[in-house]
Amino acid sequence: MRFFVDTLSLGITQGAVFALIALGYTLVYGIIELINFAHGDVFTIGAFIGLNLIALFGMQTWSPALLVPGLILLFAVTMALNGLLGMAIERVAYRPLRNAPRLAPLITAVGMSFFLEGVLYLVRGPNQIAYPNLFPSGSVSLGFASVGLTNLVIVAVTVVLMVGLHQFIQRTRVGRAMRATAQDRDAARLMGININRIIAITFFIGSALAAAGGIIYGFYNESISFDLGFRSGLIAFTAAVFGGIGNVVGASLGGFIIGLIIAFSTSYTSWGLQWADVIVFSILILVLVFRPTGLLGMRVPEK
Amino acid sequence: MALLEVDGIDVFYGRVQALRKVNLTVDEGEIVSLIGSNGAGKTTTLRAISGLTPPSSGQIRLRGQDISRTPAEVIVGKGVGHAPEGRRIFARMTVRENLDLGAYIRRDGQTRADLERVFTLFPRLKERHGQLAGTLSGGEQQMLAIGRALMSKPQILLLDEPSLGLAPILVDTIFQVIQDINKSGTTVLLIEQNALKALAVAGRAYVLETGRIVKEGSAKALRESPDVQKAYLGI
Ligand SMILES: Nc1ncnc2c1ncn2[C@@H]1O[C@H](COP(=O)(O)OP(=O)(O)OP(=O)(O)O)[C@@H](O)[C@H]1O
Ligand SMILES: [Mg+2]
Repeated sequence: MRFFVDTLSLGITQGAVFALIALGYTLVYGIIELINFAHGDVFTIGAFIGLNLIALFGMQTWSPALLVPGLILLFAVTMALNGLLGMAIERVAYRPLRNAPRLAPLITAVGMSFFLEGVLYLVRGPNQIAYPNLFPSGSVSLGFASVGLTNLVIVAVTVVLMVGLHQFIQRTRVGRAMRATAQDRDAARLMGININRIIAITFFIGSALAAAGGIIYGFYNESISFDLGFRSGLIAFTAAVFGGIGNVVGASLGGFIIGLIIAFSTSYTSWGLQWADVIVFSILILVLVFRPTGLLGMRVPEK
Repeated sequence: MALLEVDGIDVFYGRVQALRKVNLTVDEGEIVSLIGSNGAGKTTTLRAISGLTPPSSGQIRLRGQDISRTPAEVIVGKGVGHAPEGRRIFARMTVRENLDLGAYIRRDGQTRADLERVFTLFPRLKERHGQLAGTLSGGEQQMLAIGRALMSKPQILLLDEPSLGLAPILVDTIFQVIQDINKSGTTVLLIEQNALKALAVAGRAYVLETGRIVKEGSAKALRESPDVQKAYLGI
């Protein structure tokens, strides 16, 4: 039982990170039908921005009383900076290709991914870099098992971000404009929606969420490296496809499910992490073949 | 000064020229109809006016102000409402959300009254306000497309084949509503394949053939013109 709960908690916690990244893939795909291959590296950069801010303000030594507002500020500032980075990438790499054939921005996205990874390599080198965990350590006992406090806080933060995103998209004027743009760009323009602005906002939000995922990844794994976004990005992309690309709830769900699959397949078999990846990408292929719309793909017909 | 002046515009899709030196004017309060067979360039004319496919030469003026290079999302704020070909409603949103999007540019806080007006014109939309637009019938979707365009409180409403694919009884309803909308002060530029109906509600009309205006005049004169009767009225 203890082992099962540990695995469950590992899966959900890792799944939270995948979900936060997957949201960025799905939001961007939903709006401009681009698979933003650079998104995994934007996630890595988010993790590094967080690390730099922690070091800059010496947050490791802050008293617990200061730490709560400090953490909120850390997330907010990191997310905002990474959001601006996402907007900048869209502005220089994708917007000029808005009316080009679909393959052009896709290739540009791959190029952007290599570029960002290269820059990270140059700046931070090839090694694993230690990351402090500022979330409470300790654990809560459930009698038959115990769950790490860090895990609980991670899930709580992730759920708050997801619910916030969902409310934003469903309830606000800009959120409605995002959905309109995703469904019919010309019709959205006829409503007075500035498409470029909405796309920029979408990149901002996706990159900001990835930054939150980056900090969380750092806290949980206590180390990061320049090429972190490659594997995490691919897995999160699988989660987005699994949930139904373009669907926000699907991406969240997909992230958690993929996290659980990886955790259980590594804990309950002796196959190791490489095999977990094989399983994940087999899922990607099976979904693409048998249910391309994913778990929660669009069901309402477009007449 | 005319409300809308289209002054010698050329429009291209890539290398294909869809409009050649098209001229037309619409005065405040009129219903003007644009008729022509498939591929004549009717839709393109409306898309040029609302900014979706800007002309490569010529000018489009709204109350004398040049809007030929103004982006579509800005033109709607200047008083041009467009219910486009194929309706283009947001299928995965509710009726109410579609109507709210129609009022996206409004900052005057008076949209409640316009919503009531749309619901009065189309009681069916009121009944179905919470339903996903993609599940509406074709006729209801057309009502929604017109209602959505009205929510921006346009001075001129561009309608692209509002009667297409509707049952005859619904066609009459739609044409009645178009007249009601016009009576309450909205100028209308109407595209129709159903030329008979269009010429019945319009004051003036233009005939478009392969990208050129080939005839214009009062609706009455066009109804009586042998050419028009033969080509478009099936008489
Ligand atoms: N997106 C496009 N790309 C290339 N050519 C186009 C495009 N849209 C329209 N055309 C061409 O421009 C011409 C005018 O088309 P338009 O849609 O304006 O005609 P229409 O009068 O509205 O016809 P219909 O009655 O069938 O709606 C046609 O020859 C058409 O093939
Ligand atoms: Mg047409």
